[in-house]
Amino acid sequence: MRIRLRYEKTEAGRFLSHLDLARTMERTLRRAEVPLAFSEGFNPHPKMSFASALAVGITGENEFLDVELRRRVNPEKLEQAIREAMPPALKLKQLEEIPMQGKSLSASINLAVYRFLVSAGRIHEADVRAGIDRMLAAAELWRQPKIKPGKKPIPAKEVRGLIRWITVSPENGWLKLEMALVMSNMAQLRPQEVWAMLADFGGFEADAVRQVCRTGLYIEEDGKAYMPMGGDHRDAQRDFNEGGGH
Amino acid sequence: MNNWKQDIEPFLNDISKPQRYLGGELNEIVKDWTAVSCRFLFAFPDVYEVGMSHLGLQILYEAVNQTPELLMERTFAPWTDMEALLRRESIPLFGLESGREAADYDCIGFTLQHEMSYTNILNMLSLGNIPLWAAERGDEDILVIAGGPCASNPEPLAPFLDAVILGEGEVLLPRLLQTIGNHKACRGGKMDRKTLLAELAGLGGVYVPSFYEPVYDAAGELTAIMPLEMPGMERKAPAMIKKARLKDLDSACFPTAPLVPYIEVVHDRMMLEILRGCTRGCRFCQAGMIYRPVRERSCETLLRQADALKKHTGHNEISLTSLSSSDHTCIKELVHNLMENFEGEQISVSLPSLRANHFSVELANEIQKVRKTGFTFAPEAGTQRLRDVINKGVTEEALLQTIEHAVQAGWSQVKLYFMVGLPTETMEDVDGIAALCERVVRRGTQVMKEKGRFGALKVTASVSNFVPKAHTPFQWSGQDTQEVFKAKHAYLRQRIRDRRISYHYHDPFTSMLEAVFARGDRRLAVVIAKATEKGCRFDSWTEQFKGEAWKTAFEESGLDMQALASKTFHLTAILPWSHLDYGIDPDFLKREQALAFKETITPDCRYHGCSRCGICGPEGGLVLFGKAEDL
Repeated sequence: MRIRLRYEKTEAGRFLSHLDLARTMERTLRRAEVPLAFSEGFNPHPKMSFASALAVGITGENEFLDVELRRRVNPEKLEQAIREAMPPALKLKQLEEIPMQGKSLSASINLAVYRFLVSAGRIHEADVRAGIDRMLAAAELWRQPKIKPGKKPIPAKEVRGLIRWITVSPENGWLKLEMALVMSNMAQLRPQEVWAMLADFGGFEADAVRQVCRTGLYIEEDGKAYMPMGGDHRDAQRDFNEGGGH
Repeated sequence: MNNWKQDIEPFLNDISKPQRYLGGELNEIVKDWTAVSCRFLFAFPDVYEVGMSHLGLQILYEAVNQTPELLMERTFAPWTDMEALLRRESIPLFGLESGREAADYDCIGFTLQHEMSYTNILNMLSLGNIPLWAAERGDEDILVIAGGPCASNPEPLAPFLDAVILGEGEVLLPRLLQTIGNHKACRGGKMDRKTLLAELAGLGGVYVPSFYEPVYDAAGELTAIMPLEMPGMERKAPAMIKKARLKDLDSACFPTAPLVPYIEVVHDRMMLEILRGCTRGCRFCQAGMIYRPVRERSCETLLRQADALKKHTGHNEISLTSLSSSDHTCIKELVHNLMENFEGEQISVSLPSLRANHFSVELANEIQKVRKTGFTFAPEAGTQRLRDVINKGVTEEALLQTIEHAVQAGWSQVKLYFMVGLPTETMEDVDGIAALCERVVRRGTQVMKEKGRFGALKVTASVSNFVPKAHTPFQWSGQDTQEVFKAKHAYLRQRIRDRRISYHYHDPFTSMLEAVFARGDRRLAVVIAKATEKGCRFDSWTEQFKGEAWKTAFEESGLDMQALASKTFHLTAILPWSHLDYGIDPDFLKREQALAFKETITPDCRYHGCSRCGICGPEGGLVLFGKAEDL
């Protein structure tokens, strides 16, 4: 049996690395007495595959994980057991059985939506808006990764194609930014990097970002985007398209 | 009442491993501060990852928090980047559960696991805005206590501590905290410090350093530890303080729902304490003396606890901990049952301390069905003569046979622990370490060849320096000087030519500091304070260690650390810990020292009759659940 989990990495878990998260998830599944299937070999490990690693310091509202089980279990019972076994850092939102053979999550996910806050004190919404317009109007955007001493310099990459849309809106004295970024094997952008580029275009200084959250992971096909799991699938798409309508 | 976790929030992205300071782990207990009578902050003087690997913390967390009127929270030594942040932003040391600052609690307790953590203790007091010296604290100030193995000679720290717990904390700590709670409840929440300390001293097992005065003669030798009149009691403090003892381990509280850290800690596994105490009687070993008598948990209890641990943690490994796990009389049955229950779920079982015998290999072979790791033994000395001196009842032939069995069972790596500087050691004994390693390599490699396996047995020889410890038969013995240690290590380094043997050794300088504090008296307190002032922190972390600062601290205090470390005490001398009674008859220690020098062994009392150490009596004794057989 193969199951797909949609879960949240909460505020309490935002400083977990991907490895911490994987360990925490394995323990959660063990506490829930999920009959995990294990890999063969010298050091067997459970067959779990995450959609995408989430950076340290970022929360995730809709994260996904596929788990292989060694026998069939009632999915409703499973969902309840896992929900109850979750530590404060994680929250189970949905669980579904999926076909044994199917494209892996990491191969199908190709878009992520992020949200974060910046202080509205020194930065004006209008400047941010202008920055967004100028940046998205550019035909090319070049990003030069930081050159680390003693390491080979990494060549600059053109990243305009990685940014789908960006929005800004006021929120309780803060500015809320949302952006949809393409995830590809070739290059990925972090929301903080986009913010830094945006500041250059808007002519303001990039303040520290707060409460960075990956709100969703999507599969984009034929101009439509949807989350890899049913349920509020429709909402997710509306969410996504609203952003895109900006 | 501030929650300081909110204050560090804006800076968390700039410090390493912020999760260390946030709490919120699975099985964390957060209690209502207004619903309890005493709030206790357990302070571990090292980083989170080390402290959270400590079973003692989990046991005390359970023992205190299971009492409705008590509350225990945790704090750890902040890493250097966090300390800088706390000082820069004027944020005090705080408890992980509530985020309250240290000074808000009724009592803070440090565990003394090793001597090299002492500067962290003073640094944590300073970060907690707690007056460093006990004499400077008033009725408004928090009570500072300590416990753990180094509490068996807490004298170098005595001037900083209000009270010290001797013996088993799960018995005494809740009682001590309840006494504090009652004391305050009777006084409208206020403390009369002197009276409270006298009440604590009456509990048995609680040592209040300020009620004792050391007396030195003109030459600076300790001649007496005088008990003083206790305030409001019209009598003197007890001349001897007896350690607190747990009679029955089987029915004792055990944390089956321990805290499960999110980040990787040093020992990231379930810990099941299968027995406490060891009577093998190694003469250098403090744990083997102060944790007596041997008390086992029954197989049924252990299996039940293991199952509960599995359900409540989700770990994929269980470690059967004790000083010598293969000595449990039901170990075979226990391991077999655990494997049966756990193997299908890929949960591995580990036995951290095994004796070098055939039986250990058998056990190890059984548990390594899931994951195969290295084999570790501790012959401690290279020659039979010296092993007889230290009462390490392992013969060379037994060791070699064990290696043979291990190699036959599929192992190809062995780690061997040794010590240099043991009493009576000669260069012949030092050479014996190299010679023994060579014989192990040869025998092991030969077996591999016979079995048609490629390669050679690899041996890692890890050589540490003997540190004389309080309450052991070697407590009177001086330590080798730095020169001698260096010469011995240099000898071994050039003597071990075989590339199948890798040689590791400990820095003699930190071993000297350990010896100084392990047997030190109150005059050392000022050195610790000075070293802390000079920036010494995390002294057990090689890259943090500041040897020069320590040297200056000793010089400024007019103390010669080499002389203190290598000092041999007279058998009749008053030792700084003479008033602390760990249940071991001082005559037993003297007899053992004499037998050591005669190269005569004392067999384990579980198998060969009583050695009259004095531990068994009305307060309890040996508890075994199976038949005692020396395998």
